[in-house]
Amino acid sequence: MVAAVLAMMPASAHHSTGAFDASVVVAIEGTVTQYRWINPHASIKLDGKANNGFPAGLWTVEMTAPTVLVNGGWTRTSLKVGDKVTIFVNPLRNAITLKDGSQGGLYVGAILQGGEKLGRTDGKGAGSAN
Amino acid sequence: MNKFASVVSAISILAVSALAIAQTPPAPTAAAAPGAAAAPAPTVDELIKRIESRSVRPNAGGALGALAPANLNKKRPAAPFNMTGTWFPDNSRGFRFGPPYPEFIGQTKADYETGLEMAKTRTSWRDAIGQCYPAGIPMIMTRVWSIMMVQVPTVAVMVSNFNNEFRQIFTDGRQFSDPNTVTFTYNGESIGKYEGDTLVVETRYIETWNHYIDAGIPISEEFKVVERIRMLEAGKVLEIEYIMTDPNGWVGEWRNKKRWLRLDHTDIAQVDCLPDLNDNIPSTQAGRSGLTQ
Repeated sequence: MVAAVLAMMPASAHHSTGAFDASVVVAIEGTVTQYRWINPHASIKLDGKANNGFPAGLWTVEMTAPTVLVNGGWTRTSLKVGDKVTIFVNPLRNAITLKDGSQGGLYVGAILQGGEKLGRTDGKGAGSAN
Repeated sequence: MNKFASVVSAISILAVSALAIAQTPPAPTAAAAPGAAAAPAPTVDELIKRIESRSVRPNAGGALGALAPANLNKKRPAAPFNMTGTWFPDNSRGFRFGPPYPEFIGQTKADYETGLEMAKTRTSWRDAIGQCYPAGIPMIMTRVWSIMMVQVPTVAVMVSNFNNEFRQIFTDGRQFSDPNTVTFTYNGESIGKYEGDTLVVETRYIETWNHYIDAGIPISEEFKVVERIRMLEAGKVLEIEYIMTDPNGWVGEWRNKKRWLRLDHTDIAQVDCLPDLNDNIPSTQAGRSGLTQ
Protein backbone atom coordinates (compact mmCIF):
# COMPACT_ATOMS: atom_id res chain seq x y z
CA MET A 1 0.00 0.00 0.00
CA VAL A 2 2.76 2.40 0.94
CA ALA A 3 4.68 1.43 -2.13
CA ALA A 4 1.60 2.24 -4.16
CA VAL A 5 1.50 5.73 -2.65
CA LEU A 6 5.09 6.24 -3.66
CA ALA A 7 4.38 5.07 -7.16
CA MET A 8 1.54 7.55 -7.48
CA MET A 9 3.63 10.58 -6.59
CA PRO A 10 3.86 12.82 -9.63
CA ALA A 11 6.69 12.23 -12.00
CA SER A 12 8.68 15.37 -12.29
CA ALA A 13 11.07 16.71 -14.83
CA HIS A 14 13.18 18.44 -12.21
CA HIS A 15 11.94 17.42 -8.80
CA SER A 16 8.93 16.16 -6.89
CA THR A 17 5.87 18.41 -6.73
CA GLY A 18 4.69 16.68 -3.57
CA ALA A 19 5.35 19.88 -1.64
CA PHE A 20 2.23 21.46 -3.21
CA ASP A 21 -1.27 20.80 -1.95
CA ALA A 22 -3.09 19.64 -5.07
CA SER A 23 -6.43 19.68 -3.23
CA VAL A 24 -6.39 23.47 -2.82
CA VAL A 25 -6.46 26.16 -5.48
CA VAL A 26 -5.61 29.75 -4.59
CA ALA A 27 -6.51 32.61 -6.91
CA ILE A 28 -3.96 35.42 -6.78
CA GLU A 29 -5.13 38.68 -8.30
CA GLY A 30 -2.22 41.00 -8.79
CA THR A 31 0.50 42.61 -10.86
CA VAL A 32 3.23 40.67 -12.61
CA THR A 33 6.70 41.59 -11.34
CA GLN A 34 8.67 38.91 -13.19
CA TYR A 35 8.05 36.34 -15.91
CA ARG A 36 10.83 33.92 -16.83
CA TRP A 37 10.42 31.82 -19.95
CA ILE A 38 13.30 29.43 -19.45
CA ASN A 39 14.17 25.74 -19.26
CA PRO A 40 13.62 23.59 -17.32
CA HIS A 41 10.78 25.56 -15.69
CA ALA A 42 9.10 28.86 -16.51
CA SER A 43 7.98 30.95 -13.53
CA ILE A 44 5.92 33.98 -12.60
CA LYS A 45 6.21 36.44 -9.72
CA LEU A 46 3.22 38.62 -8.95
CA ASP A 47 2.21 40.95 -6.14
CA GLY A 48 -1.43 40.99 -5.11
CA LYS A 49 -4.20 39.57 -2.98
CA ALA A 50 -5.03 35.89 -2.57
CA ASN A 51 -8.31 34.17 -1.68
CA ASN A 52 -9.08 31.21 0.58
CA GLY A 53 -7.36 32.90 3.52
CA PHE A 54 -3.89 32.93 1.99
CA PRO A 55 -1.68 35.97 2.53
CA ALA A 56 -1.53 38.95 0.21
CA GLY A 57 1.83 40.05 -1.14
CA LEU A 58 4.45 38.54 -3.40
CA TRP A 59 3.88 35.05 -4.84
CA THR A 60 6.25 32.90 -6.86
CA VAL A 61 4.57 30.54 -9.26
CA GLU A 62 6.33 27.45 -10.57
CA MET A 63 5.36 26.34 -14.07
CA THR A 64 6.33 23.41 -16.25
CA ALA A 65 8.73 23.58 -19.19
CA PRO A 66 8.07 26.13 -21.95
CA THR A 67 7.85 23.37 -24.54
CA VAL A 68 4.91 21.90 -22.62
CA LEU A 69 3.32 25.28 -21.83
CA VAL A 70 3.20 26.08 -25.54
CA ASN A 71 0.79 23.20 -25.97
CA GLY A 72 -1.49 24.97 -23.47
CA GLY A 73 -1.45 28.28 -25.32
CA TRP A 74 1.42 30.01 -23.50
CA THR A 75 4.06 31.99 -25.35
CA ARG A 76 7.22 33.84 -24.41
CA THR A 77 5.21 37.07 -24.51
CA SER A 78 2.03 35.96 -22.72
CA LEU A 79 3.01 38.12 -19.73
CA LYS A 80 5.00 41.27 -19.19
CA VAL A 81 5.94 43.11 -16.04
CA GLY A 82 3.06 45.32 -14.92
CA ASP A 83 0.28 43.16 -16.34
CA LYS A 84 -2.82 42.83 -14.15
CA VAL A 85 -3.63 39.12 -14.00
CA THR A 86 -5.19 36.38 -11.94
CA ILE A 87 -3.07 33.29 -11.44
CA PHE A 88 -4.46 30.05 -9.98
CA VAL A 89 -2.05 27.86 -8.02
CA ASN A 90 -1.78 24.87 -5.73
CA PRO A 91 -0.05 26.39 -2.69
CA LEU A 92 2.88 24.91 -0.82
CA ARG A 93 1.65 22.61 1.94
CA ASN A 94 3.79 24.23 4.57
CA ALA A 95 4.00 27.96 5.15
CA ILE A 96 7.57 28.17 3.86
CA THR A 97 8.45 31.38 2.12
CA LEU A 98 11.10 31.74 -0.53
CA LYS A 99 14.28 33.75 -0.24
CA ASP A 100 12.50 36.93 -1.27
CA GLY A 101 9.73 36.36 1.27
CA SER A 102 7.21 35.30 -1.36
CA GLN A 103 4.62 32.58 -1.02
CA GLY A 104 5.00 29.63 -3.35
CA GLY A 105 2.53 27.92 -5.64
CA LEU A 106 2.33 25.54 -8.58
CA TYR A 107 0.64 26.89 -11.71
CA VAL A 108 -2.88 25.65 -12.44
CA GLY A 109 -4.36 28.39 -14.64
CA ALA A 110 -4.34 32.07 -15.51
CA ILE A 111 -6.56 34.92 -16.65
CA LEU A 112 -4.32 37.28 -18.59
CA GLN A 113 -4.67 41.05 -18.72
CA GLY A 114 -6.63 40.86 -21.94
CA GLY A 115 -9.05 38.34 -20.48
CA GLU A 116 -7.59 35.27 -22.17
CA LYS A 117 -7.91 32.16 -20.02
CA LEU A 118 -5.17 29.51 -19.94
CA GLY A 119 -5.25 26.26 -17.99
CA ARG A 120 -7.97 25.76 -15.37
CA THR A 121 -9.56 28.93 -14.01
CA ASP A 122 -12.57 27.48 -12.22
CA GLY A 123 -10.86 27.25 -8.85
CA LYS A 124 -10.19 23.53 -9.20
CA GLY A 125 -7.47 21.31 -10.57
CA ALA A 126 -3.96 20.14 -9.88
CA GLY A 127 -0.92 21.67 -11.47
CA SER A 128 1.93 19.77 -13.00
CA ALA A 129 5.62 20.39 -13.31
CA ASN A 130 5.82 18.04 -16.27
CA MET B 1 44.31 29.80 6.13
CA ASN B 2 43.07 26.40 7.29
CA LYS B 3 44.23 23.09 5.81
CA PHE B 4 41.19 22.72 3.57
CA ALA B 5 41.56 26.24 2.21
CA SER B 6 45.26 25.59 1.57
CA VAL B 7 44.48 22.49 -0.41
CA VAL B 8 41.80 24.27 -2.38
CA SER B 9 44.17 27.13 -3.06
CA ALA B 10 46.92 24.76 -4.21
CA ILE B 11 44.51 22.93 -6.48
CA SER B 12 43.33 26.23 -7.91
CA ILE B 13 46.89 27.30 -8.65
CA LEU B 14 47.62 23.96 -10.33
CA ALA B 15 44.44 24.20 -12.36
CA VAL B 16 45.19 27.74 -13.47
CA SER B 17 48.76 26.72 -14.34
CA ALA B 18 47.54 23.79 -16.37
CA LEU B 19 45.11 26.03 -18.18
CA ALA B 20 47.85 28.54 -18.84
CA ILE B 21 50.04 25.81 -20.34
CA ALA B 22 47.18 24.70 -22.50
CA GLN B 23 46.49 28.22 -23.74
CA THR B 24 49.99 29.62 -23.93
CA PRO B 25 51.30 29.85 -27.46
CA PRO B 26 54.88 28.82 -28.21
CA ALA B 27 57.42 31.21 -26.71
CA PRO B 28 58.14 34.16 -29.03
CA THR B 29 61.37 34.02 -30.90
CA ALA B 30 61.79 37.77 -31.22
CA ALA B 31 64.24 37.83 -28.31
CA ALA B 32 66.72 35.59 -30.13
CA ALA B 33 70.15 37.04 -30.73
CA PRO B 34 70.47 39.16 -33.86
CA GLY B 35 71.39 37.03 -36.80
CA ALA B 36 70.34 33.77 -35.09
CA ALA B 37 67.95 31.56 -36.99
CA ALA B 38 64.39 31.54 -35.62
CA ALA B 39 63.30 28.25 -34.04
CA PRO B 40 61.03 26.39 -36.42
CA ALA B 41 57.37 26.43 -35.52
CA PRO B 42 56.17 23.10 -34.11
CA THR B 43 54.48 20.83 -36.57
CA VAL B 44 50.85 19.86 -36.19
CA ASP B 45 51.94 16.40 -35.03
CA GLU B 46 54.22 17.95 -32.42
CA LEU B 47 51.40 20.16 -31.19
CA ILE B 48 49.03 17.19 -30.92
CA LYS B 49 51.68 15.20 -29.03
CA ARG B 50 52.18 18.15 -26.68
CA ILE B 51 48.45 18.40 -25.99
CA GLU B 52 48.12 14.66 -25.44
CA SER B 53 51.00 14.66 -22.97
CA ARG B 54 49.96 17.75 -21.03
CA SER B 55 46.34 18.71 -21.40
CA VAL B 56 44.25 15.58 -21.86
CA ARG B 57 44.45 12.03 -20.60
CA PRO B 58 44.96 9.60 -23.50
CA ASN B 59 43.13 6.31 -23.38
CA ALA B 60 44.82 3.42 -21.60
CA GLY B 61 47.51 1.81 -23.73
CA GLY B 62 47.17 4.59 -26.27
CA ALA B 63 43.94 3.06 -27.56
CA LEU B 64 42.09 5.02 -30.21
CA GLY B 65 39.29 7.31 -29.14
CA ALA B 66 35.78 6.26 -30.05
CA LEU B 67 35.50 8.99 -32.67
CA ALA B 68 38.93 8.59 -34.21
CA PRO B 69 38.46 7.85 -37.92
CA ALA B 70 40.82 4.86 -37.70
CA ASN B 71 38.61 3.39 -34.99
CA LEU B 72 35.33 4.20 -36.72
CA ASN B 73 36.58 2.62 -39.92
CA LYS B 74 37.72 -0.70 -38.39
CA LYS B 75 35.89 -3.71 -39.74
CA ARG B 76 33.27 -4.93 -37.27
CA PRO B 77 30.10 -7.00 -37.44
CA ALA B 78 27.13 -4.77 -38.18
CA ALA B 79 25.09 -3.73 -35.17
CA PRO B 80 21.62 -5.35 -35.07
CA PHE B 81 19.94 -1.94 -34.78
CA ASN B 82 20.68 1.76 -34.72
CA MET B 83 19.33 3.88 -31.88
CA THR B 84 20.06 7.19 -33.59
CA GLY B 85 16.99 9.28 -33.03
CA THR B 86 14.97 11.20 -30.48
CA TRP B 87 13.21 9.14 -27.84
CA PHE B 88 10.74 9.81 -25.06
CA PRO B 89 10.33 7.58 -22.02
CA ASP B 90 7.05 5.71 -21.84
CA ASN B 91 6.35 6.35 -18.18
CA SER B 92 2.79 5.07 -18.29
CA ARG B 93 3.79 2.41 -15.77
CA GLY B 94 5.80 4.83 -13.64
CA PHE B 95 9.15 6.55 -13.96
CA ARG B 96 10.58 4.83 -10.92
CA PHE B 97 12.42 1.51 -10.83
CA GLY B 98 10.19 -0.04 -8.18
CA PRO B 99 8.06 -1.55 -6.88
CA PRO B 100 8.83 -4.35 -6.84
CA TYR B 101 11.91 -3.61 -4.78
CA PRO B 102 14.68 -5.97 -3.77
CA GLU B 103 15.42 -6.87 -0.16
CA PHE B 104 17.24 -3.79 1.08
CA ILE B 105 19.88 -4.17 3.76
CA GLY B 106 21.71 -2.00 6.29
CA GLN B 107 21.52 1.77 5.93
CA THR B 108 19.85 1.42 2.53
CA LYS B 109 16.95 -0.40 4.19
CA ALA B 110 16.66 2.33 6.80
CA ASP B 111 16.77 5.04 4.14
CA TYR B 112 14.16 3.27 2.03
CA GLU B 113 11.84 3.06 5.03
CA THR B 114 12.39 6.72 5.81
CA GLY B 115 11.41 7.51 2.24
CA LEU B 116 8.17 5.61 2.70
CA GLU B 117 7.40 7.58 5.86
CA MET B 118 8.14 10.88 4.12
CA ALA B 119 5.89 9.90 1.22
CA LYS B 120 2.98 9.42 3.61
CA THR B 121 3.06 13.11 4.46
CA ARG B 122 4.14 14.17 0.97
CA THR B 123 7.28 15.64 2.49
CA SER B 124 10.23 16.26 0.25
CA TRP B 125 13.03 13.76 0.90
CA ARG B 126 16.49 13.87 -0.60
CA ASP B 127 15.38 16.08 -3.47
CA ALA B 128 18.90 16.12 -4.85
CA ILE B 129 17.80 16.45 -8.49
CA GLY B 130 15.76 19.48 -7.51
CA GLN B 131 18.95 21.00 -6.11
CA CYS B 132 20.70 20.59 -9.47
CA TYR B 133 22.62 17.42 -8.63
CA PRO B 134 22.69 15.22 -11.75
CA ALA B 135 19.98 12.58 -11.85
CA GLY B 136 22.62 10.02 -12.83
CA ILE B 137 22.10 6.47 -13.95
CA PRO B 138 19.45 5.04 -13.80
CA MET B 139 17.13 8.00 -13.01
CA ILE B 140 18.38 10.12 -15.92
CA MET B 141 16.83 7.55 -18.23
CA THR B 142 13.28 8.22 -17.05
CA ARG B 143 13.13 12.01 -16.67
CA VAL B 144 10.06 13.37 -18.40
CA TRP B 145 12.12 14.78 -21.26
CA SER B 146 13.31 13.52 -24.60
CA ILE B 147 16.64 11.76 -25.03
CA MET B 148 18.75 12.25 -28.14
CA MET B 149 20.75 9.20 -29.19
CA VAL B 150 23.47 9.06 -31.82
CA GLN B 151 24.97 5.66 -32.56
CA VAL B 152 28.09 4.97 -34.59
CA PRO B 153 30.00 1.68 -34.69
CA THR B 154 32.25 2.58 -31.77
CA VAL B 155 29.97 4.44 -29.38
CA ALA B 156 26.37 5.37 -28.67
CA VAL B 157 25.97 8.89 -27.32
CA MET B 158 22.89 9.80 -25.32
CA VAL B 159 21.99 13.36 -24.34
CA SER B 160 18.96 13.81 -22.14
CA ASN B 161 17.03 16.97 -22.75
CA PHE B 162 16.92 17.21 -18.96
CA ASN B 163 19.91 19.44 -18.18
CA ASN B 164 21.57 17.99 -21.29
CA GLU B 165 23.09 15.24 -19.18
CA PHE B 166 25.35 13.10 -21.27
CA ARG B 167 26.13 9.38 -21.50
CA GLN B 168 28.31 7.41 -23.82
CA ILE B 169 28.26 3.67 -24.30
CA PHE B 170 31.48 2.43 -25.83
CA THR B 171 31.05 -0.45 -28.27
CA ASP B 172 34.57 -0.55 -29.70
CA GLY B 173 35.74 -3.52 -27.67
CA ARG B 174 37.59 -1.57 -24.98
CA GLN B 175 37.98 -2.70 -21.37
CA PHE B 176 36.81 -0.79 -18.31
CA SER B 177 39.15 1.85 -16.97
CA ASP B 178 41.62 1.14 -14.19
CA PRO B 179 39.60 1.37 -10.98
CA ASN B 180 42.53 3.03 -9.25
CA THR B 181 42.59 6.03 -11.54
CA VAL B 182 39.09 6.26 -12.98
CA THR B 183 36.95 9.26 -12.10
CA PHE B 184 33.53 8.28 -10.85
CA THR B 185 30.69 10.16 -12.57
CA TYR B 186 26.93 10.27 -12.17
CA ASN B 187 26.35 8.29 -15.35
CA GLY B 188 29.40 6.09 -14.83
CA GLU B 189 31.44 4.32 -17.49
CA SER B 190 29.38 2.21 -19.89
CA ILE B 191 30.64 -0.52 -22.18
CA GLY B 192 28.33 -2.35 -24.52
CA LYS B 193 28.47 -5.63 -26.44
CA TYR B 194 25.97 -7.14 -28.82
CA GLU B 195 24.42 -10.51 -28.01
CA GLY B 196 22.22 -11.44 -30.95
CA ASP B 197 19.51 -8.78 -31.22
CA THR B 198 20.37 -7.28 -27.83
CA LEU B 199 22.86 -4.60 -26.84
CA VAL B 200 24.11 -5.51 -23.37
CA VAL B 201 25.57 -2.53 -21.53
CA GLU B 202 27.41 -2.68 -18.23
CA THR B 203 27.94 0.52 -16.28
CA ARG B 204 30.41 0.89 -13.40
CA TYR B 205 32.19 3.67 -11.52
CA ILE B 206 29.07 5.61 -10.62
CA GLU B 207 29.38 8.66 -8.36
CA THR B 208 27.48 8.22 -5.09
CA TRP B 209 27.35 11.80 -3.73
CA ASN B 210 23.70 12.89 -3.53
CA HIS B 211 22.86 10.19 -6.06
CA TYR B 212 19.67 8.32 -5.30
CA ILE B 213 17.26 5.91 -6.97
CA ASP B 214 13.52 6.49 -6.68
CA ALA B 215 12.69 8.05 -3.30
CA GLY B 216 16.07 8.57 -1.66
CA ILE B 217 17.52 5.06 -2.04
CA PRO B 218 21.31 5.53 -1.92
CA ILE B 219 23.98 3.66 -3.87
CA SER B 220 27.51 2.59 -2.95
CA GLU B 221 30.63 2.60 -5.07
CA GLU B 222 29.96 -1.06 -5.84
CA PHE B 223 26.68 -0.20 -7.57
CA LYS B 224 26.55 -1.60 -11.11
CA VAL B 225 23.90 -1.52 -13.80
CA VAL B 226 23.44 -3.91 -16.69
CA GLU B 227 21.05 -2.77 -19.40
CA ARG B 228 19.69 -5.17 -22.00
CA ILE B 229 18.54 -3.02 -24.91
CA ARG B 230 16.32 -4.23 -27.75
CA MET B 231 14.61 -2.40 -30.59
CA LEU B 232 10.98 -3.41 -31.16
CA GLU B 233 7.88 -2.44 -33.14
CA ALA B 234 9.72 -1.74 -36.42
CA GLY B 235 12.09 0.67 -34.72
CA LYS B 236 9.46 2.69 -32.89
CA VAL B 237 10.11 1.22 -29.46
CA LEU B 238 13.31 0.83 -27.50
CA GLU B 239 13.09 -1.59 -24.58
CA ILE B 240 15.66 -1.53 -21.82
CA GLU B 241 15.73 -4.07 -19.02
CA TYR B 242 17.67 -2.80 -16.01
CA ILE B 243 19.51 -5.27 -13.80
CA MET B 244 20.99 -3.37 -10.87
CA THR B 245 23.25 -4.77 -8.17
CA ASP B 246 24.78 -3.23 -5.08
CA PRO B 247 26.03 -5.70 -2.47
CA ASN B 248 26.05 -2.90 0.11
CA GLY B 249 22.44 -1.93 -0.56
CA TRP B 250 20.33 -4.95 -1.40
CA VAL B 251 20.29 -8.70 -1.89
CA GLY B 252 20.58 -10.03 -5.42
CA GLU B 253 19.37 -8.22 -8.50
CA TRP B 254 16.94 -5.29 -8.74
CA ARG B 255 15.25 -5.69 -12.10
CA ASN B 256 12.93 -3.36 -14.00
CA LYS B 257 11.98 -2.99 -17.64
CA LYS B 258 11.32 0.39 -19.35
CA ARG B 259 10.32 1.49 -22.84
CA TRP B 260 11.14 4.51 -25.02
CA LEU B 261 9.09 5.72 -27.96
CA ARG B 262 10.67 7.20 -31.07
CA LEU B 263 9.69 10.80 -31.79
CA ASP B 264 10.37 11.99 -35.33
CA HIS B 265 9.00 15.53 -35.09
CA THR B 266 10.98 17.09 -32.28
CA ASP B 267 14.54 17.86 -31.22
CA ILE B 268 16.08 18.46 -27.84
CA ALA B 269 17.02 21.95 -26.63
CA GLN B 270 19.52 23.44 -24.23
CA VAL B 271 18.47 23.07 -20.59
CA ASP B 272 20.64 24.21 -17.69
CA CYS B 273 20.23 24.04 -13.94
CA LEU B 274 21.16 27.62 -13.05
CA PRO B 275 22.49 28.60 -9.62
CA ASP B 276 19.45 30.79 -8.97
CA LEU B 277 16.95 28.50 -10.64
CA ASN B 278 15.53 27.28 -7.36
CA ASP B 279 14.77 30.83 -6.26
CA ASN B 280 11.81 30.62 -8.60
CA ILE B 281 10.92 26.99 -8.00
CA PRO B 282 9.03 26.86 -4.72
CA SER B 283 9.01 23.11 -4.40
CA THR B 284 12.79 22.89 -4.49
CA GLN B 285 13.06 25.76 -2.01
CA ALA B 286 10.83 23.78 0.30
CA GLY B 287 12.75 20.64 -0.48
CA ARG B 288 16.08 22.05 0.60
CA SER B 289 15.53 20.87 4.15
CA GLY B 290 15.17 17.34 2.78
CA LEU B 291 18.82 17.10 1.78
CA THR B 292 20.76 15.35 4.48
CA GLN B 293 24.28 15.13 3.09
